[in-house]
Amino acid sequence: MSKRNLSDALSVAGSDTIIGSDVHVKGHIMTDSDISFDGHMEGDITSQGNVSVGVNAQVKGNLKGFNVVVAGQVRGNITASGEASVLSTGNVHGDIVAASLAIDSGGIFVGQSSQSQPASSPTTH
Amino acid sequence: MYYYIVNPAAGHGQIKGLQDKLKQRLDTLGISGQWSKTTGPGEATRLTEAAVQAGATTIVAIGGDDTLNEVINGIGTSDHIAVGVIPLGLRNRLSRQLGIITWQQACDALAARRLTSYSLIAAGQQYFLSTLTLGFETDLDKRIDAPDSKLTGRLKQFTSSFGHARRFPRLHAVIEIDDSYTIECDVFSLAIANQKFLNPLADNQLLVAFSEKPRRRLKTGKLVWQSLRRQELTLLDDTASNRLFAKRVVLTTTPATGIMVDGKVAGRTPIAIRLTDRNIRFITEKIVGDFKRTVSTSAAQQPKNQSS
Repeated sequence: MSKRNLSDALSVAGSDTIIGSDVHVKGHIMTDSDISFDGHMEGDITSQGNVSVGVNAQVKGNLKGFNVVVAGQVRGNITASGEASVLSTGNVHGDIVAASLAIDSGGIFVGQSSQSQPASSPTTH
Repeated sequence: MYYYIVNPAAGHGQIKGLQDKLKQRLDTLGISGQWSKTTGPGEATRLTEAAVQAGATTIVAIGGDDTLNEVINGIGTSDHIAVGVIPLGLRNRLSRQLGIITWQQACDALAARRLTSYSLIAAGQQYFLSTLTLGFETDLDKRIDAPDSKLTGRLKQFTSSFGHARRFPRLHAVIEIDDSYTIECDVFSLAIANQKFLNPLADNQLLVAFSEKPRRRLKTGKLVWQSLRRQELTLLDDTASNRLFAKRVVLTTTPATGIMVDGKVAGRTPIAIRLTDRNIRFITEKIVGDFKRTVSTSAAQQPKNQSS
């Protein structure tokens, strides 16, 4: 890969956190940028950007971000300044506070939802 | 005052045929200085310390990545010294990352004296500039000096490395990030990089990238082929299955395994790695305009007038 291609790769999505499946995490992940999580988590994830929970993910903890998209399993509360989405493979047991909420057909949500004031955009860099 | 530290073993004695031409070029450019040759591992650090004591303002490593790394570790806390490199030999990832490819270009860069300050990373008691690695790609680096220039030779290297990759033992890693969270997983290859060194417009933090063992032969083959081509580490591209950012990392593996730091074998796990506030000025050919600011995916997808 040439220097320019490496630079390109580091720039776009260069600041996103990505944690794949088969990874076990304990503690509190805090990040300024977007995060895609597909592993096993005991603890919270807090992002100033978007939070994506992949189809293989199992999270026991709270999620906080601008938009939060869940395709896996979450046992905990979700706080989204923008939209919270539970996709068709998603399974959420906990409360959701978000400016808007979308639950796809097949998605499971057990808990209480409430609406917050919408924020303008994620404060990522 | 310029001080040149030469590794005579670099590139299987490449300096022998080059020294006179090199000295002449440096003289023409008005940057001749004192020369010293290393006699073994660690010598470049001692020579650097002596040069700093003697009042050198520019120290130039003539050799590969390990020579440059030893010079970096000899600078101490002096913040007025500039470090340059004239690449020799087969392991020159650092000089490539500084934008310097050939010895002729290196001489011109020394004369132009374009300086950029970089933070060093501490790994245990040592400092490094660019990347710490462990796992398969590190093992491959140690086994193969350079990719064979002939296709038949390259294919032979590939076949042997592919088999090695398939048999590579399981490495269980515990990675503590910023005293905030801990990751446990099986690791095939891992790299911890100085993000700002790789991209001057990026945030000053460590990029931690690691991958599990590829399950598919095709993916294994692709990884081995790319590694053999000796381009940048495959983990630092956007295909790493795991990437995150930190200021401090504590790395433990079972079993303990060797690590390479800036292409030099440098100890074993467990090891603590942290971003330091020690900066060194490097003579570089990197042009900031070649790089793009790092942005998150969501920020990149927003219309320009809404981007922060």
